[in-house]
Amino acid sequence: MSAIGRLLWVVLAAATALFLVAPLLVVVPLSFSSGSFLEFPPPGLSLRWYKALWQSPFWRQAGLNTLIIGAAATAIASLLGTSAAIGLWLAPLPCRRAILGLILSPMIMPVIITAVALTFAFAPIGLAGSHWGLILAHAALGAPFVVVTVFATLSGFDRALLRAASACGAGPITAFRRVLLPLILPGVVSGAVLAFATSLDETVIVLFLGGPEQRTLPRQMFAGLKDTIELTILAAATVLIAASTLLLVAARLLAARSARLAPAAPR
Amino acid sequence: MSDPLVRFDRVAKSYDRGTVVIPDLSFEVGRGEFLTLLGPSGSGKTTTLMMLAGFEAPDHGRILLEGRNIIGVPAHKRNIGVVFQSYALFPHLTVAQNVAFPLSVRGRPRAEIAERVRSALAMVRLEGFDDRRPNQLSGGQQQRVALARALVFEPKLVLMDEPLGALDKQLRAELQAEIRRLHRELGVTVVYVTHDQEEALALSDRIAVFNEGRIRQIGPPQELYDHPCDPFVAGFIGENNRVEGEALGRDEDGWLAVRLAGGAVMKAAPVDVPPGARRVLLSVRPERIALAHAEAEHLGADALSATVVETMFLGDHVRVRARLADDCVVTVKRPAFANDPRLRPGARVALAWSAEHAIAFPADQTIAGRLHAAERA
Repeated sequence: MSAIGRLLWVVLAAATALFLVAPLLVVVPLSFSSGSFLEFPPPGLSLRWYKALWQSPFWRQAGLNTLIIGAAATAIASLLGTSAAIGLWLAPLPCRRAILGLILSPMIMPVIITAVALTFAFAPIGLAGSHWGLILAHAALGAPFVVVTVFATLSGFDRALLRAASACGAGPITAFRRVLLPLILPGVVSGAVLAFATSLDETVIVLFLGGPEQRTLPRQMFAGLKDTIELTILAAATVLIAASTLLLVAARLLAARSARLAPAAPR
Repeated sequence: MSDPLVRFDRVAKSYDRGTVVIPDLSFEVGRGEFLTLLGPSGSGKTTTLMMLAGFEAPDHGRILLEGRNIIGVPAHKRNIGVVFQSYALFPHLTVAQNVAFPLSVRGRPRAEIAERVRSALAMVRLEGFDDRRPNQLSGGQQQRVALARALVFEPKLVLMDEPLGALDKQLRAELQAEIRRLHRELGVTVVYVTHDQEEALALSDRIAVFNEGRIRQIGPPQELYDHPCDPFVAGFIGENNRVEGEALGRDEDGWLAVRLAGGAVMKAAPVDVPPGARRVLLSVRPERIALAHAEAEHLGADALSATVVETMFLGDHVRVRARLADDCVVTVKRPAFANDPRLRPGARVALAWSAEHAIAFPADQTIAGRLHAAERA
């Protein structure tokens, strides 16, 4: 490659990266602004918007809702997704691919369709406008991520280990708990992180299914943008960004740790 | 066997309701015995072992362990130790935790576990490796851990599925000696699967030779070596030459006279040769053939003339490959001190063997076909 070609390459890559992180470059500094308006660059630096975020009962309730719904949905998604992945991996089902496709369909389904369908389905049984309705909906959105990551982890799992556990006297539940689960845990955790991240920034379903009691952070931001243009939104956004980043870093570290522990599989 | 530990009683197994792996299998394993299931890949030996371990279920028949039918008993309740070819150590556990696993799932007290793990690791000469992870060990060390794990809960029966298959030759010999020692010292019954006939000969009290899901012959190594019951066993255990000939008739001592291509008449012990059979297959071990640098005609009617194809010096012995009149090539093994520089390619030599070292099998086309198929496998 010529020098000019290489230069073009670098410029293009830098431009792409800049395009991807540009929103952060505006949002994060602005959240520390001492001014009251969306002006860039900020007139001065302060933590007033974080203070406002912390002191507002609306934002606090929204944060709490986000955590409750996200945690519960993640727990359900991890449980169901892990079971589904193990079941598909173990059972010699003839239509495995079709079943996998069905399980993964929420990933490609437009969220608005899921939201409309869930609204119609949940309203008659009293799940609309309830925490449980949102938890179940978010679990359905998150479970495919868990299935994908656990399934990928299982593909490198040496099945002889399950036979070995059984030959050692471990019944199916003991073998699952003491051999299979510890070894696929990184897959479960990274799936759970993705499921939580999905719930964290999910807005459409919350708009449809959530009542005033179920306002989550994204929903509160959406409302805040319409009503009052406050920089609290940017502080909330920065908190969300920080949370997502931390989660992803944690997932990466876990995956690296497990890769070091178990480059398993037979030679 | 009066009180066998294991008995297979007319066991049949097929996969996917189609491919029959084992049509009808019956055999017994004595207490304290070292039985090797030997055969080419796909002969049903591993399936047999997996059925005994409880990982596969037979379609028909019974498998008795100490007189009790264990069909339907899940693997984890059979109390049988298993050693796998891939070692199958738990990668997230240390060596000590791996060996402790069978004891801890049985809920043994902590102090007892620690003591038994220590003595099991000493038994396989891995003291001081407690805190290593499996991926920090060599293949041979990993298999020692697997042995300790299979033996630590003191099962009466231990199954080994090609445990040395992934190791290099020298390590294999070392671990063979180790396994033999453990078997001797612990008095445990071992059922061992391998496709390596040398390994089977070295380790076993008895060998069951498998082919196409059937046991062709079962017996002590020397019996199989000296008195194979069919050409398959003759070819699979040790090396054997096969020479075709024409059956002429039996003499008063029961020897069968066989005329080979080129006219020489050799005597052999007939096995399963029906009285009217014409074509037979002679089976002679390379070390049982005498070779002389001479014209056969000068030596007598029971000497075969042959032409040397090649001579290989292999350190402890010399192998001579010689072509008979019908283009059949036989291998002769001679001690190294009998190396003769005149045995160059093209040299005329005479071959002979005594009647008791030659076995005549019926030259059944199907058996020959199967034999070749087995050789290719």
